[in-house]
Amino acid sequence: MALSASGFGPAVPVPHMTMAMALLHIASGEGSFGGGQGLAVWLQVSDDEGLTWYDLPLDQSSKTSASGTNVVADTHKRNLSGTTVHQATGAHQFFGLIRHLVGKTIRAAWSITGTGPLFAFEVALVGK
Amino acid sequence: MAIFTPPTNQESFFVSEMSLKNPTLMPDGLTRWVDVGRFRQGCIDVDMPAAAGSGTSTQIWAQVADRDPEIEPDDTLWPAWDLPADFELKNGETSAQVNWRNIVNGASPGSVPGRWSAVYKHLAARYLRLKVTHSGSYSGADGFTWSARFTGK
Repeated sequence: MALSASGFGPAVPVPHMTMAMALLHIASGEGSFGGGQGLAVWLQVSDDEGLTWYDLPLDQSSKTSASGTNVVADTHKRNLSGTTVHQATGAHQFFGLIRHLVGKTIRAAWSITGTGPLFAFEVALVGK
Repeated sequence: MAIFTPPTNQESFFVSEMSLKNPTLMPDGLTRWVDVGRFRQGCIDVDMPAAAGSGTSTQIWAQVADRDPEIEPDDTLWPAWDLPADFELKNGETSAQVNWRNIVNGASPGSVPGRWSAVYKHLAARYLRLKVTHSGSYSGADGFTWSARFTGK
């Protein structure tokens, strides 16, 4: 689904999940962006069934690359979508790891800014 | 009286054994997907025996998926994500690389034999595979081989 405005996804209960990875797939993007404008995606947790939400930092995060050049993962960043605001067109994948997931409920949040922005993306959470 | 023997909590299996014999340009590749859903920690060990020849550099790293590749095998529809390791260490080195994606970060026939181990301290993934890329053309008669083993607990 393509989105043009900031928002957040549905609240997902994760009471028994103690570790998780977040997988962001950006299928496409378009628009005109100034400095600091574009798409940013992150996770939020709630300990009161979704009444109040808190931003969740990631233990590790990195962008998938087809190149063989090594990638060193970022640590302790909030944004799943990279350390800079995402402005690129085309398809891109981002990985984030939460080593110890202590929140009861989790959701994805995003901000979209710019002129005529339109991003098609999805966030998957895989955990144990 | 019943006696229950708990199953071992450690398993180890090959992800891939690959042998590339004298190609003019070594192909990039992907191993099969393996189900690591029952493990909370894992390591991947790569062994490259001595090889003759020259002229290529190999990189190997792990990827994960968010859905069953047996059901959704089409990479064009459901992409894979690169999985960074916590530590990567090559035999003979005294300091591990931290948060590296590449398990093998440039191995050539002139630099092997070599063994690499990457540790994933919190393995949240269900499905895992290896991706391999080569730069340059391999020249030599004996081939350039490697094998990778996953061990999880």
